[in-house]
Amino acid sequence: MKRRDFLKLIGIGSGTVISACKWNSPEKKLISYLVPPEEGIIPGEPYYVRSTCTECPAACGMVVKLREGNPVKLEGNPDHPLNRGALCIRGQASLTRLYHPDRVKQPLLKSKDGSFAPVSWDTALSQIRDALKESKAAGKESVYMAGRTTGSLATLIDEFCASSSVTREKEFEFYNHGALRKAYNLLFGTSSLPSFNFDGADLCLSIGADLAGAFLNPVHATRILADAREKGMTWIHIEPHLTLSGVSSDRRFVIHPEGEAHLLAYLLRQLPARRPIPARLMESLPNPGRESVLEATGLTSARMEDLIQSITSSTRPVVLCGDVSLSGSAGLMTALLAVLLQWSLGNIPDSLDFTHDEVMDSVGTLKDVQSLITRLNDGRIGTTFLSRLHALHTVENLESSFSKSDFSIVMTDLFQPWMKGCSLVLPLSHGLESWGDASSRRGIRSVVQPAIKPLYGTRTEGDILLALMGDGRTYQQYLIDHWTGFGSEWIDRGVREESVPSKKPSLQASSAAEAVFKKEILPKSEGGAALYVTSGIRTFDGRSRDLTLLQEIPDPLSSVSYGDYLSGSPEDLKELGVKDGDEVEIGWRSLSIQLPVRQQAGLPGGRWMISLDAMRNAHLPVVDTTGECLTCLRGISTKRTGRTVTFPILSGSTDAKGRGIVPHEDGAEHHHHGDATLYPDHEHDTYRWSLAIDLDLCTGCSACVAACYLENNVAITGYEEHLKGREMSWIRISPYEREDGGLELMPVMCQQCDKAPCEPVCPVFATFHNPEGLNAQVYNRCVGTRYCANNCPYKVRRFNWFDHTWESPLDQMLNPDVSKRPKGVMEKCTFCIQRIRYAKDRAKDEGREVRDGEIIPACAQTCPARAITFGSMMDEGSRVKALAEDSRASRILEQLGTEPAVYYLKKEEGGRHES
Amino acid sequence: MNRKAYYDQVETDVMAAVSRPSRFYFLALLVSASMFALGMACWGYQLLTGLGVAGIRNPVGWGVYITDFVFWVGIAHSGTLISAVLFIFRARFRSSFNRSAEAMTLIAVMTAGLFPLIHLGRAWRFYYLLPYPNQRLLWVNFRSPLIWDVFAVSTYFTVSLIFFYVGLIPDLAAARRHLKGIFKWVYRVLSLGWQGTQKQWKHYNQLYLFLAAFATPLVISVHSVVSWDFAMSIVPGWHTTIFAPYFVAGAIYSGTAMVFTLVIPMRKILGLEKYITVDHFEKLAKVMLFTSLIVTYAYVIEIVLAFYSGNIFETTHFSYRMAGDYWPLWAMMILCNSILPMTVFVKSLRRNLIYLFILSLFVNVGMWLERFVIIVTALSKDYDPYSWGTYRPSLVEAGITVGSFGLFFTLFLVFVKVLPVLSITEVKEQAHES
Repeated sequence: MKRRDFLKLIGIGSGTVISACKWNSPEKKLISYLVPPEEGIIPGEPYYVRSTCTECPAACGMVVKLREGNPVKLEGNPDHPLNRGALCIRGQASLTRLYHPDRVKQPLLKSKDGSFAPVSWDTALSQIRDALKESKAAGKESVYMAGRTTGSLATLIDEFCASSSVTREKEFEFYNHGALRKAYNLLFGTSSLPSFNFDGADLCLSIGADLAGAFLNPVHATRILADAREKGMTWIHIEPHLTLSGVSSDRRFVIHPEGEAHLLAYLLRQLPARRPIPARLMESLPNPGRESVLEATGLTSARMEDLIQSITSSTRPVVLCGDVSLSGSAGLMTALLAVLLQWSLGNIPDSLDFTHDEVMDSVGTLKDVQSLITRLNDGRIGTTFLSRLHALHTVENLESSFSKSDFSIVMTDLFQPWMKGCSLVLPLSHGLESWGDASSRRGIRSVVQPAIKPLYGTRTEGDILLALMGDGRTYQQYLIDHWTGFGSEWIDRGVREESVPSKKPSLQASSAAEAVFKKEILPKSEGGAALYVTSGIRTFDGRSRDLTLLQEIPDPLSSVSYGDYLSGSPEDLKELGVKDGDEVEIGWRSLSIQLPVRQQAGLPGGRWMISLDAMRNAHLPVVDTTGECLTCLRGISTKRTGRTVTFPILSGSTDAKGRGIVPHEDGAEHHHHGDATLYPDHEHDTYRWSLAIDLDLCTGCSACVAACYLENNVAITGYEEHLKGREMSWIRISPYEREDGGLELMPVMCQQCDKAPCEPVCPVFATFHNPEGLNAQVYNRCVGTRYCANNCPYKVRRFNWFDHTWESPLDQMLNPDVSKRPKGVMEKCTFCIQRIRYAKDRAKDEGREVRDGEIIPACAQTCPARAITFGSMMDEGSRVKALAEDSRASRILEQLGTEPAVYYLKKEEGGRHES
Repeated sequence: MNRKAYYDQVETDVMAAVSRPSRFYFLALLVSASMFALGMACWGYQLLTGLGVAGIRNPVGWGVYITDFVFWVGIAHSGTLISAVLFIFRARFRSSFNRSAEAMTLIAVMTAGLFPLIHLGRAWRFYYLLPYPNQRLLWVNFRSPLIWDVFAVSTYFTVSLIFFYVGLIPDLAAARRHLKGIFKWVYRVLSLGWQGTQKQWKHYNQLYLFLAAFATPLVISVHSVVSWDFAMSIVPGWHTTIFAPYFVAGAIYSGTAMVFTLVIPMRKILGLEKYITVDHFEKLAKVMLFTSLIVTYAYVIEIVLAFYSGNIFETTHFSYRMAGDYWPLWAMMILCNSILPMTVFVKSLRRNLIYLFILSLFVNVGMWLERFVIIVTALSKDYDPYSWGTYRPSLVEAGITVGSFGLFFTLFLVFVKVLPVLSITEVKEQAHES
């Protein structure tokens, strides 16, 4: 080719190529708001609204963080006297309920062929009015049954029922504390459930009541326990099985199933009474001999003496009893004995407050619902209104009976399978979309304030009822009318304390109580193995099961995430010849449950546990005397079926002996190998961030895990990925067996090591040490070799195996301050670096340094026990420095020379778990 | 036979292989090319979907891909040992293998080089691993063993390629005399105008010696560097000083086995029995036995020292390796790598080519398993009991492993047909000296 031709060709060719390329990328316009959405809202700045958590009836106060109009994070309301700034795992996860993809979006009316068709609200409401008219004309009763309702809505429901001639049924709650309430009624003439406090108490004796788990308000209980224990209170927990309270209490006594009644009867007579019990009543009490008590409880003589001594020597012991201890066949007697002990030790009225009781005025027992079932089956019910009902599957025939009424209306946010039998489904707005108020404890009223306009065509229950009554007001207006004289500041504060007429009941020499003691006998001590039906920290009575986040996060005791299972003790599993995943059949009377087992370290032999929401089709008998469901099933038969079921167990092993992980241990390899590196130490600039975790206060409730997921846009990977151990949690609760037979639940997150093993091995410097002591992970530099994860001894690094999507509208929930990580990139805990930056920026604007306590990572903020403390080690007066230098402080795997920035304060000594 | 006739005979015999491929050859090529295509398809799927399609997980972040990487790099080393190291030590028997061995080295390094890309979470950002000057003044982390790998393997490939090519030049010149048409032109260009003058031969020998000396330390250093991917970590079972010599010996060991696997059939098929004799194979078998003994020593010393130390992490790891979830793989590894090669002490067995071929297959399997066992058992159970978990390879990983073998065999088959499989020059030299 000639040179000229060549040059011509090149010239034309390149010209063509270049002109074919797009010069200008499509213009993207950024149009700022001409009219901002609301006064004071600046895009990029968070905006806070105070409200109340509606995930369970405990009604903790909440602060909702909004970004660009979307709620992205929930925190506890620091001004709320109950939860004081903390939220539990379910409270945190309730944000996902707002954005749940399966929410019912509009009213659904059942058509003739049984399928549900969407209709307008006008149609739905007119259907209801017609149904009420028909029922009245046919002379049939109409009923209204809701879950526990407090505050103004309870008043409105009464008004509605009165005006429409609808019978208001007792409220349905599985955990209705029927035994305790009946006991207080028999002995004090009031069926209130008093609230408890530990003011000035030096001993808390809890029998069965899982204070840290799901007993009443676990956030409040954990907080006051932590406060009291920091002031020196000892917590003794007595239980037949294993709960979070047992794991986190100072001392745990394990007793045989249904041994509580024996123990209480014995203690009543052995302990010097600080308040007298009427002689007649005292005589009617069972009087078991010492030998029979020791046999029935399984305590040794020395242990019994120890227990008695502890109570006698305390100046102000507080006794609490509940949960499985009161839901056996002798529940009422046990409750009476416990209440008498409370009286005898002087708990009433100071530690047990009847004035500010738990508002359970309309809550009935499971016996009350039996009468409804009968009336429904007899065809005497015309229209039924059902609202906020959960755990219905536990009562036989209840779910199926609703279809027996002429027209059943159910108000709900998510469609449950049992609702197929209903005629009309009305979608309820989430608490974050509604106005309202709640008063779970008398004298405390918290506001429910909407943070966002309803995402769909949903309405609040109040609005529905007002519309049905023909009242022209919205529920908001109704509330404003109700709140006359309150002023508006209380809405900004979120909570209001109201004065309540004082109640100071005194013990009545009740013949009814005596009758109970004469009629009931102490439960037999031989009874074979027992099955305990427990509430889940993750799901309460099963109502939170639809929130996938709560299945993604494993149960802290068993480390199982997805799936139903039975918890069995190591001895029982060995005897049956089964291991994790093998299916076992448990038989009890006509009940037969087949589920795979999971070995539970710390669970005593002869006891099995099952979560309430794992009892899918199994009905439990109702204890006649108390109206509670029987959750202690004695005399079960166990048999292996031969089948195996796979379900994800996220813990590889709970045995960490000798490794230098559990802070308590002696004999662990602790000697440091001297300086592990020739490189000079890091120099820290102004701040050196550290965490201190007090394992004495931590109960393992996993609220921190949920908070971290939501704050940092951590992906939910699901069941299949969990089977491969690919959970994404940045913080986890690791259970380890302790030498004394208990469990140590340790929150483990990236330790931000000063001499991090992950840093030198990353080929591209995607992880490096920043001047403030953090181990920073740069997502856009990471190429995904995973050497850092291999080299991390704590295994806290998480790899994105796939791209993760958040199904709409869950993507509105994402925190805009934290980037979403694509596939192939490593991520881990950052000590909430976005919050650190935010505080530093604010401090810089004000020309100062960040103060101690100004930065709170998500895990620390939500912790009900205030077990996690964050701060700078270079700040001489910081709380974290004081804790890190405490004699109880140590670090995990210190012998490796990683110099972690997380200090664990070991549990106080003082005689731990012995049974 | 006079010398010239012998030389012509050698050339004819060797170049006979570089002739029109038979049907059998095409079938073999088709099979290995399909294996390679399968591997590429699996990789494509993985790139689109994410590394989650492999079985790797938390805590086992490395699995089959790194096993394959170390396996292929190990095989490469034996080739260089035979070509360069044995040349320096004037081991005559090497001349019959050295061309094939050197080709095997190059092909194995190329195959191995794919795996650092395959196992990356974001393979499309692989260039972050290269130290190129950029506007943001970002350099790679020179402290990371993975970067040392980048330098070591690329150096090894470069030096091996040059060494291979330089050694080929006289053979390419011989080849061009026997070929016609386009092939003749290609070989003429590639032989760089070699005339076989006295001066050219002198330069050739000097350069060859220099390159051999340059390549020799690479045999030690490259696989030491690869072993430091593990030894420089803190993982119990990896963090031990014996890894460098252990892996180098293991590399040579697996490489000699692969030479047997390739050359024994090749010799039969191409009819080169005259040039590659049983004596040659016997000497190579002794090399294999020697390296097997070193590897066995390393196994023993690892275990003994772990239990002698009493360190809970070390003892847990080795107990797990020998008696835990993966014990059958460990047992197979011991059988294939330590026990079976002992039979080479028996003279009749080591002179039996069929026996050596079968033994070499076992050794290949055993050495692959050794890397798998080291990587997976160490990561499965390390410091934190909560995080323990087992790894099971997925179909995608199996597919990519099969693909790597497919690539290797495809390229080797191409080599057989395109280049002289024996070093014509050295065979002629041998005849000259004898």
